[in-house]
Amino acid sequence: MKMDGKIRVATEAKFKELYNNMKNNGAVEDFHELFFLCACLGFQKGISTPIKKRDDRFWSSTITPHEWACFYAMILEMNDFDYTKVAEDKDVIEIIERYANAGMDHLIAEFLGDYILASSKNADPILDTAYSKELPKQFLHFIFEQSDSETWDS
Amino acid sequence: MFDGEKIERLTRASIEQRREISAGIRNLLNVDALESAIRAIGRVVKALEKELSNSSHEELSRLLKRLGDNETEQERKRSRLEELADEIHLARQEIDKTDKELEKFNEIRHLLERRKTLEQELQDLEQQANDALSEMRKLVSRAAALIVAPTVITVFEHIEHQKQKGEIPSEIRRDLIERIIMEKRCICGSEVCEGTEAYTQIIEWLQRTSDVTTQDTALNLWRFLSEVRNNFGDNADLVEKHLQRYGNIRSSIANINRSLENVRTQIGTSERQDAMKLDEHRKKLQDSIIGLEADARIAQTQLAQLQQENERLCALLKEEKLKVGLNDELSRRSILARDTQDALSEVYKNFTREIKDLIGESATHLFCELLDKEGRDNLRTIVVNDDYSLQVLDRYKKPFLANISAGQRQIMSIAFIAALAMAASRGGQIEIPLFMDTPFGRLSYEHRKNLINYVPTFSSQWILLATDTEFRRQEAQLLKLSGKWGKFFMLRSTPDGNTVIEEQDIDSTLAILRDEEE
Repeated sequence: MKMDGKIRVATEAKFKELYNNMKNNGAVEDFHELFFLCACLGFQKGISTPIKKRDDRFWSSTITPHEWACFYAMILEMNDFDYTKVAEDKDVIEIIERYANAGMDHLIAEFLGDYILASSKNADPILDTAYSKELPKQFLHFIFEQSDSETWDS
Repeated sequence: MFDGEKIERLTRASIEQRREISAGIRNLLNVDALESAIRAIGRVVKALEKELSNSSHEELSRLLKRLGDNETEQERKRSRLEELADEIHLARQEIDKTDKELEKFNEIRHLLERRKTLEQELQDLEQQANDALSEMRKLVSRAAALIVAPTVITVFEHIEHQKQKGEIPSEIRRDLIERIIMEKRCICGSEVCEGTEAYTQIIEWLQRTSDVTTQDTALNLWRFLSEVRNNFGDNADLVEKHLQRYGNIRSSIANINRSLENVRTQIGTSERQDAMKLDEHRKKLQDSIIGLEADARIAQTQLAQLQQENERLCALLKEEKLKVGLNDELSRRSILARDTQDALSEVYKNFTREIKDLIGESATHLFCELLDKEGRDNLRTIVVNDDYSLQVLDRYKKPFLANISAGQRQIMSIAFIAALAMAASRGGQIEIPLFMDTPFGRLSYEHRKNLINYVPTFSSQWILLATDTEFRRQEAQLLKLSGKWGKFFMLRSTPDGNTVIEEQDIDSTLAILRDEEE
C-alpha cells in the first residue's frame, strides 16, 4: 500500500477511443478520473470483468491519493479487512482494473450509449461529438445520481 | 436651392466650400475665351522652353527643368485637390443617402439597440455556460468518490474502531506481550506458565496485534479516508451547486433567446436588420471626410509653396534668358510667350478680384439688412479671400468668422448666395426662383422677420419649404403683410408612407398654423 506510481494501468483495448473521446470532449480532465469512476461503478454494482485484450492506458502516478485510498478501501472491504490483500499495489490495480472494466460496460449501458455513434456500438465505441456539447453536465449529473445521499449526509 | 445645413457649410473653410465659391464666381466671370487663351499660351510656353532646355547654356537648362518640374508638381497637386474635393463631395452625398435610409429605421432603433444588448448578453451567458461545463469536469473524481461512500465510511470506521480499542498503533503492547511470554511473568508479578488459561489469552492477544508495516498502512489509510469522508458533504454541495448554476445559466439563455425571437419578429424584414450597419457605415464616412480634409489642407499648403517657388524661378529664368542673349531668336520667342502668359493670368486675376469685391460688397449690404441689431453693431464686412474662402470682418476690420453664431453663419451664407445670384441677374433682382429648405431652423425671430421682409424685395420668386415649428402664425402674419404671398401648400404624410400635397387658402393659414407658445 505504497501508492506506487510506476504501474501501467490498463483497460480493455476497445475502450481506447472512448477514453480519448471523453478526455477530448471535456467530460474528464484525465484518464485516471474516468478509470476511477468506472471502478467505483463496477464495485458498487458488484461486477468485475477480466480484461480480454489489455491496453496500457495511463501511469499509476496520475492516480490521486484519495483515489488510491478508495481503491484500498474497496479491496479491504471485500476481503474482510485483510491488509495483506493491499500490500502489493500491482495486485490492487489488477483487481481494480477488472471493476473498472465492468464499470465501463455499465456506464455505456446506462448513460454513454446515447452519446455513442450508432455505427460503433458493436465495435470499439466512439463518442458522437456532434451531440456531446452538454456531455460534461449530463455526465456529472449521472455520476451524482449513482450516489446515495443518505450515506454521506449522515 | 438653399438647404439649411448646406448653407451653413458654406461658411466653413473647407475644400468643398472653396470649390463651390470658386465655381460660382467662375460662372459669373464668363471669360471662357480668356481661359482658353491662357491654356493655349501655356502650351506654347512649354514647347518653347522644352526646345530652349536643349541649348548649351547649362544654367538656363537647369532653371527650365526646375520650372517644368514645379509646374508639373503644381498640376499634380491641383488635380489631387480636385480628387479630394470629389471624394469629400461623394462622402457627403453618401452620408445624406445613409441618413435618409436611417430615417426609415428610426421607429425601430430602440429594438435594434435592444437586440444588440440581448445578443451581447447571450454571448456572455454562452461563455459562462462553457466555463461552467469546464469547471464540471474537475468534479468527476470527487463525485465518483460519493458512489463508494458506504465503503469508505465502513473501512474508515473499522480502522477508527481498531484505533479506539488500542489495536493500532500497537508497538508498545506487542513488546510488552513478547516480554511477558519470554519472562513467563505478568506485570502484577504472578507467574504465566504455558498451558494455563492466562498464557492462552496472552498468545491470542499477541495474534490480534499486527506488524509495524501493516499498522502504518492502516494509519495512513485512516488519514486519507478521513479526508475523503470529511469532504463528502462539501463535494456533494459543490456538485449540486455547479449543476444548479449551469441550469440557471441555461434557463437565462432560453429566456434571452425568447426575447431575441420576440425582438426579431418586431424588427421584421431582413432589410431593417441593416440599420446598425448603416450607423457604422455613417461613422466610417465621417471619419473618412476628416481624413480627406486633412489631406486637402496639406495639399493646399504644398501648392501655395510651389506657387511661391514658381514665382522665384520665373524671375530667375527671365534674368538668365537676358544673359543668354536677346539676339537669340528662340530666347526672344520664349520670353515673349511667358510674358503673354503672365499678362493674361494677371487679367484673369484682376477680373476675379473685381467680381470677388463686387460680390463681397453686395453680400455685405444684404448681410446688414438681414442681421439683427446686435449683429449689425458688431459685424461689418463680408470678404471673399484669394483662396475663395469667406470671411467676416468686425467693426475693427478684424476677422471674426470663428466667433459668430450658427444663426449669423446662416444669414452670412444666405447673403453671399443671394449676392452671387444678384450679380448673375440684371437690375438688382434675382431672376431665378429662390428655393429655401428649412431656412429658419437656426434663426432667431428677428432674423426670420428680416428675411421675410427683405427677401421678397430682391427675389422674383421665393419658395419656402418650412416645418410647422419654423413657420408659425407670427411668420405667416409677416409674410401676409408683405403682400407677396402667392401660394400655400401643406404636405401631409399618410399611413401608407406617401405624402399628400394639399393647397390651402392663404387667408385660412393663420388658423392652421401653430402659435409661438403652442
